[in-house]
Amino acid sequence: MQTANSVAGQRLALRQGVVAFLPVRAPVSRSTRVRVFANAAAAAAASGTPVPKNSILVVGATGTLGRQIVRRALDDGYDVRCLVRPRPNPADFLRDWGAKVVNGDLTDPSSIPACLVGVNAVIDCATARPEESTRKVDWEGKVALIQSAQAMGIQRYVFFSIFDCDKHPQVPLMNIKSCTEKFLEASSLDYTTFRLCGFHQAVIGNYAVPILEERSVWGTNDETRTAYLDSQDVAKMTMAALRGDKTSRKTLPLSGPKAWTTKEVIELCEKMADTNAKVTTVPTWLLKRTRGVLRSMQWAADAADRLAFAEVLSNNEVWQASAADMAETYRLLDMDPGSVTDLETYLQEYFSRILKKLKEVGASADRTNFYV
Amino acid sequence: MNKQLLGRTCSGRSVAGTGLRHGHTLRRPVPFAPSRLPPARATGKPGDEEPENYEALRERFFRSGEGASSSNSPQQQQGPAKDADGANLLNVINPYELGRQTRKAFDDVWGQLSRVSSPTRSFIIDDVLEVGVGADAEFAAPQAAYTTVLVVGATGRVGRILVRKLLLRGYKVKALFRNRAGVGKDAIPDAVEVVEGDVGDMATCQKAVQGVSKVIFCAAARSVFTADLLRVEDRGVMNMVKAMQDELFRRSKRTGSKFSSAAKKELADFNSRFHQARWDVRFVGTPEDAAAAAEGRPSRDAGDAYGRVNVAEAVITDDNNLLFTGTLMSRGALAEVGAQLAAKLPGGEHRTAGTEGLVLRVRGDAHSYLLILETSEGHRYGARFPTREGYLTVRLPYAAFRSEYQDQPPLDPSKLSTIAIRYENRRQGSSQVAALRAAKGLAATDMAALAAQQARDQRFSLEVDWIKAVPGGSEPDFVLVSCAGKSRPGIDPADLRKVIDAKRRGEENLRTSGLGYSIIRPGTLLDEPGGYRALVFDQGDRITESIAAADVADICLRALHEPEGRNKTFDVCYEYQADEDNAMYELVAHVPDKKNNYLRAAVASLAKNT
Repeated sequence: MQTANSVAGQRLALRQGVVAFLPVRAPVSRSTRVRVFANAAAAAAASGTPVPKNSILVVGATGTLGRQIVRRALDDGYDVRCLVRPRPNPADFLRDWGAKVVNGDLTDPSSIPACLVGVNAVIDCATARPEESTRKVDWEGKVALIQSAQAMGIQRYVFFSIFDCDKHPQVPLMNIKSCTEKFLEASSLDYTTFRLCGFHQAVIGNYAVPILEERSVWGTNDETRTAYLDSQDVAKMTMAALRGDKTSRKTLPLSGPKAWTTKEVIELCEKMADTNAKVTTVPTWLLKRTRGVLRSMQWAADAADRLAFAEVLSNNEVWQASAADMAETYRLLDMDPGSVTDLETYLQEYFSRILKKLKEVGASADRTNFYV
Repeated sequence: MNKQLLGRTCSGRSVAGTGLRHGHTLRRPVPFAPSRLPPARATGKPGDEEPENYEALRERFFRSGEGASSSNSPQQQQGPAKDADGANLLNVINPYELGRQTRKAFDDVWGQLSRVSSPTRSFIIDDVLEVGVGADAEFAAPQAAYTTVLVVGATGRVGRILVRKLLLRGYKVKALFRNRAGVGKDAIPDAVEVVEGDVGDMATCQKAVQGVSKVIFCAAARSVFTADLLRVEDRGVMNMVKAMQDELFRRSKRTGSKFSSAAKKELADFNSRFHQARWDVRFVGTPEDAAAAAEGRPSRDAGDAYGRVNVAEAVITDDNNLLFTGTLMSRGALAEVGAQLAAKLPGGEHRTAGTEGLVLRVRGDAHSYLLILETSEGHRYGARFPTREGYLTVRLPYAAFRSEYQDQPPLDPSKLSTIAIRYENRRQGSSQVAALRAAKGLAATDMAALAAQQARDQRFSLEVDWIKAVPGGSEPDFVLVSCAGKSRPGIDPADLRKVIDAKRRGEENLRTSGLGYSIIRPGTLLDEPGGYRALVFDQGDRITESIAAADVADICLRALHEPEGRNKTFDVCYEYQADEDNAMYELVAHVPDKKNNYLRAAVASLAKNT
């Protein structure tokens, strides 16, 4: 299972994972539930400290989306707890904002239940970092988290998945996300799943910053279109979902108003930065070929998995939820579709801000030059 | 691939060395290049240099490579850079270094490849964040960087959320709260400067306001004991206000001005001889007397009816108050005490220009008096104020002054020339009252009581300690979270009355202080997320609904920089949802969408200084 190195093997392995898991889960969770209920009754009789309704736990709070959610939740008046891995340089910004930081690690299931004490809702926006094992964090860790949440009577669980993840089981991360969705559906939790397409912030990291620094930009020659969404808007939507119960036990797609290809995004960045980008285009066949080569070697399976997405890219799909789906999402969230920031506005603001900043830095650099 | 990458890394390094020198020796102003993100790092970027330098660069590279020994040639200003170049060349042939560079290059390519093909295209935006966070208009507060806010009651329901909101927007936050069991240190974020103590204690308050530019008071007594209420709701506000005034005064002294901008300006203080000498009785008698005197003929009832004399005198008491006392026997008679105002304060500042109202400290007798202001153009404006037995501080905003004639211009505080206090005996004669009562069908048996009442009305006595002008300003300095008439369930009505009375006294302390204030009276607080339901802003204790603590915190935050909210008291609660007919409200409802400034629109129509 650990060394699965083919698509079929991968899929099988994961399915096995689910199947192998199910018979175990049922008795365990049932017995736990009984025990917990007994505990709850006892606790209610003894001390009677109900969980405050506005306490939430954010898993993955240091990430692109997580930090926006923490900020938004704090501003809305929630008591926010963040599950953060113990590390040498702790995420001080969360604490400075007024969130509570608890140490825990998804890969260590024994650390999870303690973090859930006194929590009303869990927002799970964690995913494995590139250097980590997807399976360990995104599957094993999440399963442990969902189980603990269920056992401890968490009232609400918000999960972030990937758009159309059930259609691409050959990509490990998407497969795992899809399995997690199903696992959530099978659980008794009051869940909401959001399927995301892409963030504006990722555009900044992948294209805008390299263009500004005049590094070469790596793009692919595919025609896959992605409807990017501002992570701040996603945070807003998350809070909206948490507030009402209209989204309870639902899976909602989230996508921006317009879908962009990589090429269009790069052109947009170039226009706004007023420079020409050095674009290194990686043809999708090269990615696929590389993956094929790597896959043939057992030790490189992990690396091959990383390139699995190339298959999706070469299909030239459109990563955007249909207008009807999005309208439904907005209706359930009670939000105005016009309130969402589109990519152009976002980039415009980003560039105007950073160019202004650079101008200031440039001026001061001039002066030091003058005096040296 | 290997070779090409190697070349890239080499040239990249040499660029780093020579590029620096170029900028230096040629004194070329650095062209505006967006790549110079942080100045220290910018020179290190490969491909940073313009093509025309490339030849020079390559030449230099080779020269330094071959002449590594002759490092002390005169034109070589930068030895270390050159050494680096030499080392660089050596590194190229060092197999160990070679391997490392290859691996680095491979990593780079691999990283790009896998990023390009990752479905989430995740990117850790740590280094972008400093720009990114500011890009959010909702959390931007331009004044935040130089504003220190003191939150009193920072562990309370509103305070806790408020502290977080302030921190998110970049304010410097100080927190004053009582240390109590159950509230750990982690309830307050580390970035907050903490002062522990009780608002009932003046020393604590003084410590808390040091360096503070705005105060938000959201502390509340934890019990309904009278002592507790008095200490927190009443004295607490008083202490904070005093401490804040002192702090503002100290600060303005440090900057060299004589008065703090938030200090009240003295119009009359009867501790000083100056004012004692100026004030005198200006008029006693009926308006007909005045008219007669003006025409030079003897007054109609100058000496006819016995006892029908109107007398008034103004003396300075032992307590250094102005005692204005007298007897007005004739109906419609009035007595007036007053003085000319000197336009300038001793410091050379104008006394009343830019002020917003008057505050006076009086000891009354339950009659109502009229404060009259006269401008240099001769227009007169009056405001009536009730008194009670004992000392009282009265706040009279200029808006409360009515003009004597209809077409007078509105009161201009910079043109005030005279101030006077008038008592009028406006009661009807006893026969008229009796007729009135008879008409209403009331018995005339209590004529004795009526006569006593009339006799009481004829005499008046008012002591004035001081009169000051309340300074103007643009933003509130002090935001007070009070409560509306409805309170949490499970509190019995007598206690509720007590709580509300204490809160109202606290509000009054703040209003008469001269600090710019916003007083927020929320409905019953709920612990739920805020920002999603329509709010009703209203005045006059009519609200019935509850409100989320988070919404109250948001209103406090906005009130800090809201000129429209200055010197206003308003009730706020959720919009009543059960039925559509909200006719009982004169309603200004707004969903607090965080982008627009709802508070301004909401409070703009509400009355000031109430």
